[in-house]
Amino acid sequence: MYTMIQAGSMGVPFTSTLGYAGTDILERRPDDFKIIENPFDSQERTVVAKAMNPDVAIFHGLKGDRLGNVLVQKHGEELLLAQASRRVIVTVEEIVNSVDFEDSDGWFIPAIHVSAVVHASLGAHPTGVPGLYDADEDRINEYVKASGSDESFNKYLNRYVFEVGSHQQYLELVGLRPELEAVAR
Amino acid sequence: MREKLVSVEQAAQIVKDGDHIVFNGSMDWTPMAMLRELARREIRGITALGVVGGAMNLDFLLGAGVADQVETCSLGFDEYARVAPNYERLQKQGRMRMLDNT
Amino acid sequence: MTIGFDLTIEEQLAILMSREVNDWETSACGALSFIPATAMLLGREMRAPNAEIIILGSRDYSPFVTGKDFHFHAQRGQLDLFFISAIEIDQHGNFNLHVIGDRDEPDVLMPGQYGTGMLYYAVPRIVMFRTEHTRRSFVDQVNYVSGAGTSPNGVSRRTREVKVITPMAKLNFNQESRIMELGSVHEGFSVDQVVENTGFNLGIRGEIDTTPQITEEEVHTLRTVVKSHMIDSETYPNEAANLIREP
Repeated sequence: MYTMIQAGSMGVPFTSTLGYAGTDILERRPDDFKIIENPFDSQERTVVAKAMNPDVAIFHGLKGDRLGNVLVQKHGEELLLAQASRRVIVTVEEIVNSVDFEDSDGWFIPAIHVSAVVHASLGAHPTGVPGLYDADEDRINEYVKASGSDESFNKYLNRYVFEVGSHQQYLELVGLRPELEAVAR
Repeated sequence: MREKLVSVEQAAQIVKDGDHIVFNGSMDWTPMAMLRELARREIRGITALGVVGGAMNLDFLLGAGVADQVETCSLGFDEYARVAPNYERLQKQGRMRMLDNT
Repeated sequence: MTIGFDLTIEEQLAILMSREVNDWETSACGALSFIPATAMLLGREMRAPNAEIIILGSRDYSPFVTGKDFHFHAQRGQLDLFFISAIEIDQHGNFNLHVIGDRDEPDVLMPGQYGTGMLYYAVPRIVMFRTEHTRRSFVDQVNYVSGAGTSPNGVSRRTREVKVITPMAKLNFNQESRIMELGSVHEGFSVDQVVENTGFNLGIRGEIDTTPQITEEEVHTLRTVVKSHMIDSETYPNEAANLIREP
C-alpha cells in the first residue's frame, strides 16, 4: 500500500510495485492492478497499481494552531497520507498560539496540507496517545465484547454515540476531565 | 491568513457519503472523537483505508455502518483480539467488502 | 532427536530454523513472530555473529524509524532472509493468510498479511514454518492465494530459495518444477508419517535424508544465552519465559 499512497502524494496516476502477481489480491481487483511490460526493459513485466488519492484523511495529533499547522506523532506516515488526500481533518489534544516547526515532541505538518483543525482533548479515547494517556483497556475490552452481535453493538453505539451530543459529553460519560480548558469554537 | 480551527461538527461536514477516508494504521492515536461524530451523523457508504494496517479506526466505522468497504493489509486488534471484532462478524456474514492489499 | 531434550514445538522449530541464518546477512521476521525471532537470535549465537537481525515491533531489533522504511528496504532487495508462517501452504508454493472458505463470506477469517505478498517476491530466501504438520495445513490448493509461489510469465522476482520447516519434516520448493518436495524427515518420524499428514503428493523418489540431529549445544545455548537475552531485552519475554524450557 505504501507505493500506492506514495504515488498519490506525488500526483502521478500509477506506480510500478513488487509482489501481487499470481495472488488472489490482484485477481479480485483488476481495476486497481495491472501487469504491463516494463517500458524500459521489454524482457520484464511489472505490476502497476493505481495511485491512492483518498477524499479525506483523518488523524489525531498533539497540537494545532488556528492557521492549521499541526504536530502529529513523530514516527508515523501522516504527512504522506495528508499529501495524497484531497482534504485533511486533524483533531488535536491542545491548541497553541503557533505550532513550532522545531517542536521535538512530534512531527510538524504545515497548514497548507490541513483543511480543518479541531480541538479534542482526550480525542483518541478509549485508545491511547503515547506520552499523554494510556489506552483504556477496560473500555476497549467492552467494545470487543459489544461487537459480538448487531444488538449488542447497537446498544454500545446508543450509549457512547447517539445518546451523547458532543465530545465533551462523552468525556463526562466516561468520567474523564481534560487537563486543558474548554473546547475552542 | 485563513483560519482553520473549527468544531468537530463543522469538520464532519467535509465528509460526504461514499468518500474514501484514509487513516494511519495503529491502535494508538485513533481519532475517536471524529469517528463518533461521523457515526452520529449517520454518514454512509464510506471506504475506510488503513495505511498500513487497521484496528479500531476501520473496525468502528464498520460496526457503526458508516463504512461498508475497507482496504488494508491487516485488520487485527492488538492484544485485545486476533481479528478486529466487527470486521470478523460482518465479513463472516458477507455484509461488507474487504479490498486486500499488501 | 527430541528424545532426552524434552523440546517444546517452539524450541524444536526455532533450532531447526536457526540453521538458516547466515553470517553477514540480513534476516528478518514480522510482528507476532516469536519462533523466528528466537531462531535468528540462536543462529547469531551459534554460527552468525555478524548477522543483521530485524524483529519488527521489538525494542532492540527494529532499526527502522517508520514502517514504510522497512517496506522499501525489503522492496529494494536489502533483506536476505525472511520468515513466514501461514494457515495453509500448497504444493505450488502458494500460502494463505486470509480466509478459509469464500473470501466474501468466510468460515474462518484471519487478520491478513503485513507486506508478505511483496516480501515473497522481494527477498531471495524465504523460510516458511508451521507448528503442525497436518493435511489441513498442507493442502492441494490454498483457499486464498495471499502469496504466490510462482510469478506469471515475465514478472520478475528475487526469491530463489523457499523452504518449509515443520515439527516432522523439511520441505524444499523445487525452483525448476515449481513444486514442493520433501527435503528431509526429522529423527523420530518416518517418510510414511509425513506423506500421510500432507494433503498433497510429495512425489517421493528414492531415499529421503534425515534432518541433522538437534545438538546438545543448540539446546543449551537456546535455553541459557538466548532465553535470558530475550527476557532482558524484552524481545518476546513472556513467550521466552514460558515456551523455552530451563536448561
